[in-house]
Amino acid sequence: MQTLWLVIKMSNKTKLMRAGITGVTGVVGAGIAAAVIAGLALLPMPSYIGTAPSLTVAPAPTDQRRVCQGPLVQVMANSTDASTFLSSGTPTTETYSPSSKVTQNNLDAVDNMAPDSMGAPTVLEVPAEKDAAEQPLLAGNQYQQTSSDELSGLATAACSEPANDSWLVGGSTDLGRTTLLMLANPTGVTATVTFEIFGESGYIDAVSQEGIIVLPGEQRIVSLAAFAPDVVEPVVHVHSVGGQILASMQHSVTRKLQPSGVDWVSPGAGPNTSQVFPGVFLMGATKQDEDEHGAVQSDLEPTVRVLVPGTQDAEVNLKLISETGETQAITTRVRAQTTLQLPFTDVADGTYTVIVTSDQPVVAGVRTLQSATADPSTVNAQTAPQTSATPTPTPSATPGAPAAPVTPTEQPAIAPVPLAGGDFTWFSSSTRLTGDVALPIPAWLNPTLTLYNPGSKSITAVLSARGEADVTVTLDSAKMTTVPLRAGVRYSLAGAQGLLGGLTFVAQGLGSSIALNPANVLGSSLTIYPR
Amino acid sequence: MKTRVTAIIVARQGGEHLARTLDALAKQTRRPDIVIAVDNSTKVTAQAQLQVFGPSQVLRGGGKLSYGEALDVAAKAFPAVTGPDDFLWFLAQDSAPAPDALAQLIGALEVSPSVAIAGPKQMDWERPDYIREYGVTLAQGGRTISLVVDELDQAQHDLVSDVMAVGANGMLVRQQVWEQLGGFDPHLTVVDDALDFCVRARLAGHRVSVVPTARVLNAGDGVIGPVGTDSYRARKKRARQYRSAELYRRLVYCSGAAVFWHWLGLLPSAILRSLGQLLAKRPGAVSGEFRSAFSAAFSGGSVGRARRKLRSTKTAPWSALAPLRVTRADVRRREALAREAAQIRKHGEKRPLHFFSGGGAWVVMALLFVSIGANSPLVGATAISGGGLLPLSATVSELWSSLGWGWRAGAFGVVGPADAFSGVIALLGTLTFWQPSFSLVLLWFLALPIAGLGAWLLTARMTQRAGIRAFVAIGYALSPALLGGLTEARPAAVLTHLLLPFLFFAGIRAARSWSASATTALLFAAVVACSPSLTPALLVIWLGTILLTGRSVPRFLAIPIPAAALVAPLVVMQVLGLNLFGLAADPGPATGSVVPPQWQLALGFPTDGLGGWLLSIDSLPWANPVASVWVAILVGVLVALAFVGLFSQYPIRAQLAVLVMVLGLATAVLASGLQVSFDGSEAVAIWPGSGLSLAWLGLMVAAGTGASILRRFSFYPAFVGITAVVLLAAPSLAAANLGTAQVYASNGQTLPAYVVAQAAIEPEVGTLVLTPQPDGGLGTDLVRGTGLTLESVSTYVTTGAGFAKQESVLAETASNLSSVSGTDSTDALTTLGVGFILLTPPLQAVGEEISPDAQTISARVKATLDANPGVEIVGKTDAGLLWRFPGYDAAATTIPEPSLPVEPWRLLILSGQALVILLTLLLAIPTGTVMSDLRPKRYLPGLIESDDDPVSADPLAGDQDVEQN
Repeated sequence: MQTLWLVIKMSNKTKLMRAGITGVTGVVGAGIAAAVIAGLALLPMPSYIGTAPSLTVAPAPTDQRRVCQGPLVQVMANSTDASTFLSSGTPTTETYSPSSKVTQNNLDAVDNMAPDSMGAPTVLEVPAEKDAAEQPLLAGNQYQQTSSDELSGLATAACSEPANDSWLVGGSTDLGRTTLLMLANPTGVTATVTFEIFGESGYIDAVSQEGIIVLPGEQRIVSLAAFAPDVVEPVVHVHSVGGQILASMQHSVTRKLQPSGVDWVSPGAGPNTSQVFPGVFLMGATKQDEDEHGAVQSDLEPTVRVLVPGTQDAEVNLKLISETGETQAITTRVRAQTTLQLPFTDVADGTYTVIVTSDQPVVAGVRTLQSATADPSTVNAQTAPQTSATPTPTPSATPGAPAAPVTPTEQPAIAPVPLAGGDFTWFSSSTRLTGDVALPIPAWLNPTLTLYNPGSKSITAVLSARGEADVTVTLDSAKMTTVPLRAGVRYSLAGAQGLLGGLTFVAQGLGSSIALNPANVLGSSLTIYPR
Repeated sequence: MKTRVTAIIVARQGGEHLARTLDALAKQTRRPDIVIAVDNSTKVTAQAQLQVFGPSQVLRGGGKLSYGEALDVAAKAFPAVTGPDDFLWFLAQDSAPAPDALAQLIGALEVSPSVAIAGPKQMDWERPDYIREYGVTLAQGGRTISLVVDELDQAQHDLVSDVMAVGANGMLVRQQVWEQLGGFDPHLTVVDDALDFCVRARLAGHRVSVVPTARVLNAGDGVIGPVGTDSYRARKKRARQYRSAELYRRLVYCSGAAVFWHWLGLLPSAILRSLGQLLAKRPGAVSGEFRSAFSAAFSGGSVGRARRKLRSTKTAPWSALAPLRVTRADVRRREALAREAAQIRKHGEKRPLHFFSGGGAWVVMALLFVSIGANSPLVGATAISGGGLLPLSATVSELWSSLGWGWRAGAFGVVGPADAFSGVIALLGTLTFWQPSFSLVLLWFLALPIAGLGAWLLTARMTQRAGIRAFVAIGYALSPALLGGLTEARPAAVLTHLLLPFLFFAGIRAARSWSASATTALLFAAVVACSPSLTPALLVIWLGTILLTGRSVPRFLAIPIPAAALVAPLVVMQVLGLNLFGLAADPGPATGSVVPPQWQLALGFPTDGLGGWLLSIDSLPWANPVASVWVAILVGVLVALAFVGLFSQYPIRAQLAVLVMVLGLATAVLASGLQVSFDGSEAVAIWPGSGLSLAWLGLMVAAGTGASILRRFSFYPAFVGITAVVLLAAPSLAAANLGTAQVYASNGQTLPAYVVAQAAIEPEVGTLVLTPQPDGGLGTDLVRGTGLTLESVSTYVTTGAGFAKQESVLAETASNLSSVSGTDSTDALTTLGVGFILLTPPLQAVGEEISPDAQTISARVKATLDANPGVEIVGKTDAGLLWRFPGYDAAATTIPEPSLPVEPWRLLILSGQALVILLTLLLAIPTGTVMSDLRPKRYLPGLIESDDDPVSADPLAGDQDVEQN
């Protein structure tokens, strides 16, 4: 181009020619530039994504320990001392550890007047294998169905790891409602337990600051009403200093002198901006009471109880996902440190995954109702395994009698009695699974596993058990599924990393749930990014 | 007594010069009695001409003889000395004497017997009325000074007769004296041979005088004395020859006791003088200084022989010569005159920039006010944080200590190269030495005005029109790339944007001035340091300029050298580690931002959402079509102006500017696809804004050219352009006030105040920073003292290079701390020197919420640390949850074995880099004499705007600026 100009200068031609060349080069230059820019803007360009340096480190394996909270208890009748309790039947505990034999030791339930033969909180233990790369798997689930003058219904709970910090979303100390806190200390260190209790009118500042001393190897039972009477929607934050404890709740309802359900409330996932409840079964969801103005006050309706433990109000979104993929959502504002019960409005009967999300960390729990008249067929898995037992009510099961002991592989011996008072179920939120899980299934009716994939990638998990065909479950992002299980079988769930799960049991007038939590979540392998 | 003149004529080649000389010789009124010709040509080309002339004898030289040696050859044919009036007349092929020259010279010698040597007035061959040389003398230090240089002969020097020495050309010398003194010194082959001879003659008691009436032409063929051409190479060579001769004469002339000291001083003085040469913008003379010193120092006994010869003939003391030396004051006066003459010759007259009257000051002031308004939340801040911002070290010495090579912050036990960017930051922090972090606040406030100033100056090189200058300045200052860099808190990108116009401003002059070249080299290094991804584009521009305009002079070729010196250690390490893409990584902490789709990049926006025009990032790419169309229209105004520029009267400038724009865009688009550095588990894309800065500069220059098409009415398109640019920038300018900008005023601390307080007592206290990652992993970093600083971060670490085994020690400790495990972490924490453990809020993947995995790991770390009896919870802080490890003991801290040795590499690399930068800096300082480069400027129309016809212009340069050599 330059030589061109020089030539023009040398030839000393007129401006006309210069203008001509300017025009041509200008058009050509603009054309080339436009083409290149268009290419840059529209064509796919090569890209390179590096991989961050990381190290996967497995912590040294330790002995595994799970604590089961023991039998349902009732407040001792005709006693002047309101803080003494008596076992109401014996729970059945299913345990499973693929690696070695599970040892069981009873804890000393000092507040329970009944002998250990009537059931006691137990500690399940398996030792860490020497030089093992991974932590041993261990799981236990306990269940108890009762039908006495004071308590009736089905209660199930997982035997869990003790913790310093637990959030219990459930219970009520309203008239006719009894909520007992059970604090088991399986460690060798004395635990000093303090509570923070929140209710529908805010933080309840009535708790003795000295705390409750739980000696090593002891279980204490206290009535929540002693700290927070007449609270309809309590949420309890249990904090222990020293030893780690298993905190749980026993919530029972008596309406018009008729026992109307009982359940254990297990610790859910801690404060988080999302809480997930896989397998929430809703049936006979009655239309919401007109007087309630959006918030649920009656415990005759299914609800989601939400608390914002922080000091800022939160925008809370409630979303339901069904197996067919339908989602329904409502959004509401929740005041800080005040519990609120959100309704399920216009929800068809069925099994759902309930997802609570918020812009602030929240804790939440879900309660559903199983009235004595409601038909559970809509919520139980439709394709029951061929070998599973057909539920046959056993009329001979007398109310109040302890359940007959069963061996794990046998067919369930308990049959549900359609209890006149009905039952309710507390769901605690599940935590994402981080590895394989052992699943000892209680020998009760219609055990159903619900899995939900909160991630962005599809996940395939395999459910296997000795003598059973493997069940492979593939879940796409934000999808849920239910898997019917055989009662009394010890399953192993592999490849479930990233999934959320829950076990549910439901029959006419009875129901309960166990949230699946990752085994030994605090001892699994970690990916460390050292930069 | 009869005089006898033996003329010796030495020819190196035949031709016109020789013919004219022989002709002049033949026309002498007093013809020499004997003519001895020495044919010193390599191919005997002068033989025929000499034979035709018919000298007494034609001797063969062989082509390699110096003038002194040729005389020695001729001496064999000299007739025997018969008396004091036997003269030798020294001529060369290019020394045509005036017809009466010999007669006048002989007259001078005959009149005064004490005069042994007479020299003619040496006139210029091409301009015979100009004096080329007329007597030579010595400065006080021994330097050769020609008494008259290139002056029109108006008889102004005709009163001079006695001089220290005369040049060899046309010199008439008594044969007796010649033989007494032993001729010219064989070591002084080119310059100072006659000077030395004359000095020895004077010391032997003779006089030397010039004869004003005798004139001899001199073409400077290099037969006698040095080659007289004015090329750069010839000047360089002459300077070396004079220096060589000076040093040699110094050793010969000095007293016996001083020889040794003078000899010892040769090398140090060469070094000192080299620095002076750099300051004087003569880097080419540096090698000559050293060659001269070595040739004088190792002259193989010549000094001894010369000293003996001098001693044997010396009768007068040195003090006898003192009055003939030139005084220092006179030397200074001569230099000042020469400088002035060179200035005038080179530039004619100075043309000011009109910074104040041309509107530059107004533009900068307006941008300053806009900047203060846009950054109003930062007013009064002493430090800013967010995005890629980190505080700087508290003291200047710490700032500079992280340069070169050494322990790298942000990784455990890693030794490696620092980024060149650390140097830029150290420099920046030194500007506000009382509080280095404050310099970033200043940078944020001054970014717009400085960018505007740079673009204004660059435009001032091209046009006189204030409207266009203001348009380009405002357009560049309000470019989406700069505003994106400011809102996303990317100091490296902001610095790049500010430096680019100055780089081109200096680069345009780089081929013509050493000062501009060195400044360009430093700016180039700074830009490459701030945005390594721009290097390919800049190198293409550099290479293209060399190929297109033939600027292959050392001044232009040397531009990338400082940058190369700064990045060399990193390049070597990354190449050895096969981490080539890592070289493109942005310096500073790796912080991801949403990479916009390519069409947004092509519109000039480095951030997603068109700089705030699309308010919601979550919406679909075309969710806000109206806003997109508006942006496209506004950018289209600038593009249209640039398009018009291609058909303006300066099409080449517009073409080149569009080329630069396309290069910048390509850089931006390609860079945004490279994710090479890591923020924990997250791969971070290269910031596309640096390429867009370059593209926008090209666009603005092209648009400014387009605006000029209306000549006197160019204000109107410029005004339209300014309006478009201001509208485009409005949402970004409002970002800080709306709170959507990432940058915020802070206390300049990255760690909790509790840790900072402790670090004041224990400066080496370690804080283990645990960051939950979106994929459920845990980022682990051990920081010392008050935490990471901007200058201590290096791409060597952020790109994951040089992964060291020691890092697994840290990883294991972090893993056990974050787990219920049988291992007690106390020992590991003590050894690592950890005093605190900080659990920061979870890292978010770019453009996403905190992931459930991250929340899970966060809860896990909290639970396990709470249950860990070895650590105590401090509580919630601004930076996250803090635990204290009471077992911290500075004495028990074990420094990990480094992955690579720190020394001697640190010393070697630092001294090498410092040397290169210092030398470049010496060259860049605008001092020293102008070294006129009389290379003819090439004619290229269409680059420089002025109302008069551009008669002479460098293709890229303007000539309307102040020379800042």
